[in-house]
Amino acid sequence: MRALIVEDDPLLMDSLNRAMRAAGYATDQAMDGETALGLLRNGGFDLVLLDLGLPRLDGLQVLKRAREHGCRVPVLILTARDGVEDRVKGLDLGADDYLVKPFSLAELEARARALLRRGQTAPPLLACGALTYDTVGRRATLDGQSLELSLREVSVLEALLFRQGKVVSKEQLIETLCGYGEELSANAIEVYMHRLRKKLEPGGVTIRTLRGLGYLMDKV
Amino acid sequence: MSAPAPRSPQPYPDDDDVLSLRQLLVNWLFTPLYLLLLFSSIAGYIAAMKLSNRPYDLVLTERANFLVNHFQAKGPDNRMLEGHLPQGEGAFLFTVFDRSGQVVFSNALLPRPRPDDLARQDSRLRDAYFNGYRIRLLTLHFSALREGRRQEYVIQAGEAIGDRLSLGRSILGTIVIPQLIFIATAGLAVWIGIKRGFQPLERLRRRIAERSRDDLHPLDEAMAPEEVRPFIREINALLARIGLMLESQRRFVADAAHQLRTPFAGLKAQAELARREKDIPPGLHASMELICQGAQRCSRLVNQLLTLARNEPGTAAFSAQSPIDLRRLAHEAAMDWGPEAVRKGIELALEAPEMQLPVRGEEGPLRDLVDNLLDNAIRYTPTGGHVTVRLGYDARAWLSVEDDGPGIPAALRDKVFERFWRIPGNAQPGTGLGLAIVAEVATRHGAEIHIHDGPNGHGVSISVHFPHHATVQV
Repeated sequence: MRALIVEDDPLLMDSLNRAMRAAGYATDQAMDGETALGLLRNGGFDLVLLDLGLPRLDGLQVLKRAREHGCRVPVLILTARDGVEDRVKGLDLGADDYLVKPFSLAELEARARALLRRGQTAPPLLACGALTYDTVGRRATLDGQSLELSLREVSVLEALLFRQGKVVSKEQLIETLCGYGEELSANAIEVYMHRLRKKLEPGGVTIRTLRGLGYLMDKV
Repeated sequence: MSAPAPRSPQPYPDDDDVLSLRQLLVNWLFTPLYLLLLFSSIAGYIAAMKLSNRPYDLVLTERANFLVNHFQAKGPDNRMLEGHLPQGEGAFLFTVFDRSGQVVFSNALLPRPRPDDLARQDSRLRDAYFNGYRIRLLTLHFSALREGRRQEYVIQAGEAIGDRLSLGRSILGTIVIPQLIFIATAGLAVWIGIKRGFQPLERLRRRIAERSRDDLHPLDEAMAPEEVRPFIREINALLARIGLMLESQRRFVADAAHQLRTPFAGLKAQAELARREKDIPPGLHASMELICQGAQRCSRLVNQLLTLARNEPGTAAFSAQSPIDLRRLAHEAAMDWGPEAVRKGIELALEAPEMQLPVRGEEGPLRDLVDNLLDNAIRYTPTGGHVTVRLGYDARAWLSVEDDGPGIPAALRDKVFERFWRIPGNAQPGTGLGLAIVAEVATRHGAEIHIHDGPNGHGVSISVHFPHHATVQV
């Protein structure tokens, strides 16, 4: 994997470079817009980290011209601007994602991975602690043991796993489940949660209820 | 009329001239009006007296002539006169003197003619006093044949002026009373005119007072009377200068915060990289951890400064005034804070009616408001605590975030909305800007903030009540 890092601040450039190398990327560096555009035209990158405030040629211009040149590489914009308009403009010009400075390295790495995965099929296996879920076969195992789940329970589990570590509201769950063409009450959701909790408890996977907000799946 | 204008601490020259235009106008219009009344009354009185004298004087002269004729023909013979001259109240009094000043014929002893009257040969009318009464006195020279000789005589003829006075008074009345009415009407008209004249200024004042706190738009010149427009122009120029100052100050904060982001990003990333190294000594690792936290705090401060700069007064007015569902917004915000609450072992909950709570405002700033309330509550509530977001509608939409953390002492509650102010002795890392942002956003939306004790007297509950006009009727 080859990444181009475009950033004019030497301190940040150094950390980005070291972080990306540590994550297994080969890196090229550009400290200004024109150098970056030249490198992009030569091609051969799998990912670009692009700062917007660049000397000689603005980051948005670099992006625009590279896209006009037919360059399709995923671009992650790193910027100190957090205005909604700037964000929309960047995405309109062909950026794939947007990270506002200062960010944590873990977040940068996660976004980079997500960009590289984009266009490929979703990862077939989701996991949370001792729980693994096969999105293709729609089967769940806990500690290697297959779990007996109804179709509805599988859908609820899937929805929670896709948004692992985040709160999933009842409304979102009902929306997911109502793809089956039926009305579903909030009480029904609580029944499914109760059953799922019982089945997941032995594996140390919990589903927390945040009253009035929704549910959050977490490993203990 | 109106409350006295507050005096400027710097006294103006001619203080009193400047302070009330109304007073100035009243003085300059009413003083001449009253002088006019006084002058015309005096003139009227003089005219009335002259007019009322004229017919009575003619009668007096005629009677005197009658008496002269009588004297010339009959001599001093009283008997013939009875029935010819009025008696009693309007009595005709006369005294005839000869050249030596001896009374030769009289029915009352009138004063002797004055030397200057004697020197003159014509007849003369004047006012005089007789026995303490005011009388009209005619002095007339004539000659008569007496004892075969032509002799010179002077007659003093007089009558009380009672009738003349009452005629004069009635003439004066017919002149002065309409004049009084006229002056009073004119005064009333002037008063009403002044009052009405100041109404456009009062309207202007009300319209300026009605403007919102952040409204620095120029005033509409057309709504001011022509004479006041130059002032409006100057005020607009002042508003524009204030706007520019606020804008440049806000931009400076935004730019500074902005410029700090990149170095902080570098610092933070370097510290994180160093922390990942496995073979560094534990002491150094602890330092790296602290540097990471420091960088984290700086980043947050920078973000908070930017948020504050966005919401300060003087920033562009709301771009969109479309109704925003406060319930949805609070729900989304609380969902995003859910994982952080779970990580800290705090029970986060939302209590809201199953209905939309639309308020007029801007999504971004309102989200900043809810985020900062939640951030504060979760930050200062210890593990095992509760944070509850409540929403409701009772004529106004309201939102509150309550916790059962350490709370805010009642005496300090006014201070928490000040920038960079933090509760003394507070060990939690914070910027001291969170509630300042909440206050700015609330003010921008015309909302009221209240701080109360939390449930059972523990912790704190901060509520935001949106104004009626910001609540869309449901």
